[in-house]
Amino acid sequence: MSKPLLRVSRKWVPSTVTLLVSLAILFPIVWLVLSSFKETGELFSYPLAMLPSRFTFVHYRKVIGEGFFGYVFNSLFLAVVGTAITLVISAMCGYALAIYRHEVSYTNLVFGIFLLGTLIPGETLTVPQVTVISELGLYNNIWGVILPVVTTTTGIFMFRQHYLSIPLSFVEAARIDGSNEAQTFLYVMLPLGTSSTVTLAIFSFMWRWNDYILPLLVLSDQKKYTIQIAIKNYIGFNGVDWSSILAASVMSIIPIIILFIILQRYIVGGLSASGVKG
Amino acid sequence: MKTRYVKRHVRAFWLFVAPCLLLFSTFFLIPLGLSVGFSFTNYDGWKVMNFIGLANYKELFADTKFYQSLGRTFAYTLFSLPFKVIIPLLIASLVTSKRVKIKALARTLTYIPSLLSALVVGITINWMFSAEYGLVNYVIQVLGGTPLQWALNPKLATFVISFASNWASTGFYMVIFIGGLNNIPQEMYEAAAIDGSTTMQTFLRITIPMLAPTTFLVTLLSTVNLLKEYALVQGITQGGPGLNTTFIIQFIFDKGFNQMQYGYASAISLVVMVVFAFIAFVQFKFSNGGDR
Amino acid sequence: MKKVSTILLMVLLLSSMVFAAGTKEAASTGPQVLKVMLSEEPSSEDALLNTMKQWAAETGNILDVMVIPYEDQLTKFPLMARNNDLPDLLTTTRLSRLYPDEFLDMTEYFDMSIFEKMAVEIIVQDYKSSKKPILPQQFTITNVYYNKDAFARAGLTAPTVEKPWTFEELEKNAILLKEKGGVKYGMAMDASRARYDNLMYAHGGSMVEKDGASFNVTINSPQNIATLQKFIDWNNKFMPKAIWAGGTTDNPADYFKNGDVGIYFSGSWNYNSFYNQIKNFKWGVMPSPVGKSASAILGGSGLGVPAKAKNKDVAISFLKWFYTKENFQQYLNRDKGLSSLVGVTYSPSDAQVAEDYKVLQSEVGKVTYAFSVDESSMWRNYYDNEYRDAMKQAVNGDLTAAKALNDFAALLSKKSGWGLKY
Repeated sequence: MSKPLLRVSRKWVPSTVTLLVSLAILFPIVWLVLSSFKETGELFSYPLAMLPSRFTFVHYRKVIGEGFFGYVFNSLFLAVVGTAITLVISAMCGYALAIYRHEVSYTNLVFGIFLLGTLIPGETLTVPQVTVISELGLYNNIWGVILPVVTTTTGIFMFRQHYLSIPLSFVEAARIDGSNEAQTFLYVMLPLGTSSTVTLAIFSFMWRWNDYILPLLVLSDQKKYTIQIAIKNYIGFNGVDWSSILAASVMSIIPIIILFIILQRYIVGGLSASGVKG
Repeated sequence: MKTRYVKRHVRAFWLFVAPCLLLFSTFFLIPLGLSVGFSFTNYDGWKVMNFIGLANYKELFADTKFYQSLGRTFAYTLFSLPFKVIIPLLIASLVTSKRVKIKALARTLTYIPSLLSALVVGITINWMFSAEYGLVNYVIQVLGGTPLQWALNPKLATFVISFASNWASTGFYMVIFIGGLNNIPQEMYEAAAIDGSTTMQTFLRITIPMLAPTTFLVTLLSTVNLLKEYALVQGITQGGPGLNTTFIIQFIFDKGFNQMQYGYASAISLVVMVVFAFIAFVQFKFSNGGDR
Repeated sequence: MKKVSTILLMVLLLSSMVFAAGTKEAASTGPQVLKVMLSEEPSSEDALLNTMKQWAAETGNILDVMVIPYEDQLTKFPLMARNNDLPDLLTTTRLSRLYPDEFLDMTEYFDMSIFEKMAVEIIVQDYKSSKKPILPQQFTITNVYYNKDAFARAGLTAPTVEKPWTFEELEKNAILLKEKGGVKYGMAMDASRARYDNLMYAHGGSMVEKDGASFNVTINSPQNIATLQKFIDWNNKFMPKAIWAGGTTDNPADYFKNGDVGIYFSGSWNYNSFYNQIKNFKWGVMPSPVGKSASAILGGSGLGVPAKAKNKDVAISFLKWFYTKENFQQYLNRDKGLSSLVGVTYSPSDAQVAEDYKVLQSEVGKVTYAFSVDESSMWRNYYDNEYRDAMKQAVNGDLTAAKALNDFAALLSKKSGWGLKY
């Protein structure tokens, strides 16, 4: 075997393997998308074919006709507003936990309380959570779905690790220049957090977009429903409307994939900056 | 002067922490407190709530189904954990390797399943593994094999859930590993190359040890998430066949919330919480928090 | 980087303002709104929805449908009640049984004698008081569907009302269908307690029996254990076992619709959707098989008005409209089911539907006394899930039939305080 050929294979073999692996991982979604264009009868008729014999948009039209865009709009509102609040409060909290660690002796205790949040199976707290939400008058109110979930330990953790990696001398310099604590945070420290910011933004958006149980229990006006509830409603007691469910699922993942593709180049940077250091 | 300075900073600290702490207390700590309270009552979720002391806990500790589902949860976690850590690590190594060309594309494709909701993951996996109309069984048939009993064989049913869970989290953990890999100083690899170390040797002697803290984080996160597995189970097997995939959270819902025994369900939740916290604590101690 | 985050924040804030402005609701004037709660996204041929739409069109009122998935209703309903947020009208099979206090007493608005007595008894399920929290809407009965094409291929003729099959014939023919009928499964049965219970009653069993004012648990009687054993064998031989063993979210109605099942034990509520959706093969309704006795289980859903609903009067006016002979007739024609209103019957124009309907009606006569006793014990309020779990484990082979039923009997007895017969 000649040398150039070997070099070629050294590059091509790993690349091909990588491509095949990632395509395999993507495959179930491809199958879902292709199936959603099949006619209902074809979904279950053997032999199964990869491609629909005829692309049909009937199921999409049906799901859209049943108000799907309204649910998309609600989910979008929930995700966008929830994400904005998460970013702001997590940055503040993470900043405080990192920057005042020498002056305030109990920062780790406060951090520990937040860490508790990741250990507890959240689903089991849903019922008392909804009790609190209704006591606060937030029942059937979009804020009743947003406020309970905006505090995320992951977000606080990411910002804390980020600010830990920034030399305290930056803060001191700002203070010497005469800026007060709020100004220091806003002008000096907040812009530095961008990579974490974008990463957390994607995560938070995804979590809110995919929430199911809390919106279902808190919202009781169909006009306020989110897409996940809309998808679940096609799973009936006496049978599953597969065609509609496939079309609705496909439509539910499009916005989040688009958002991810736009912002993805920040994600890796953000996570590595979050202090998961090798 | 010094104390005033510190005092001002303490106040600033609390003001910065306040929004998170307030929301966290309102929507997390108070419900947790309520849950503790409920666990000593026969609360039905609405009208009945009488103090019954430790009766719920006594019933729980005498319930063999509780121990069985806890045991199943541990077995599932132990079975799935290696895949949760190793597969993302291998993929992360591939997509950071200098010898791979299509890194960005591969990362994007691999990450996409992590963007899906548990509901949609369940639907997608059902669509692949359904014993009746699923693609996997169809392909097996076309290749001349016997279709597998995905829903009937306890091991296969557990495998499908594990597969779904892995599929939906590989991208996320891969990204964490990429972060860790990027932080390994390049000089170490160069030194190894000069020493004539093979790819495999480099991976085992440099990459793996240097990645230890990242691996710890991924292990901890996946352990907790595996122990808490619920939405996927509900969407794929609903705890069957028999009770073979009824893990602990499912058990809490079946026993408690779905039968309006909120008091009892709260008691189980709290016991489970303590068990989970203990496991996380042990992992933390065992690996020294990931510090070398 | 700085720009990106600034733009991101601006977009977030701006969009939140726009959205917030958009969520303000318009004050309602003119036509009244009827808020209805259903348990799944209704199909286009849904009889109730189409009848409600007709009402809205005729009266100029507005229909506001909300869907809460069936399984989530148990959690959601108490929350809605506590927040004074119940819909004006809902259709339910169990909420009124669990929370009768939350509903208006329909006897104040309706003369109950206009309804079929049996329908009121079964659907309203009120054994403890004279209050009627719901009115019968869809009156259903368990029944057996069969795939005519598969029967033809296997050289079988369907049993007749006069001469139904025995369980031995059922078993033999289900095997034959699987071998020669070109179907994957000779027989399938919904994963519902009521479908299995028909086997139990037909073999002379029951859940409980009366003991003065109280009950005794009889679920683990020898004949019940034998019935369950037979059912387990059937699952292993010619039924889609995963349905009853659990482990899948599939619904056997879909298997039947796809032509994979020869004989399908389900109920009259599926008739309309089969009628509209099955195009690839011929199918029909056959009488249920007979053992020691025959058995069928009546059921159905009712329409209830929550006592604290905002537009109670609109809901009542809809119900007054709905239960007129003319409008109910139209509903029934869409539903193709049994009538719960005295003097209204469904007379299908389609010859095939008429034939099926006759078989359906013949099933009504098969309702057993044991079933009424079991229902009146309201045992389901105790341990419904556990019964299902015991069945799952037995069918899957994790427990023997005897152990599954003995354990469940002990549990039921403990929880209810009833004695154990066996």
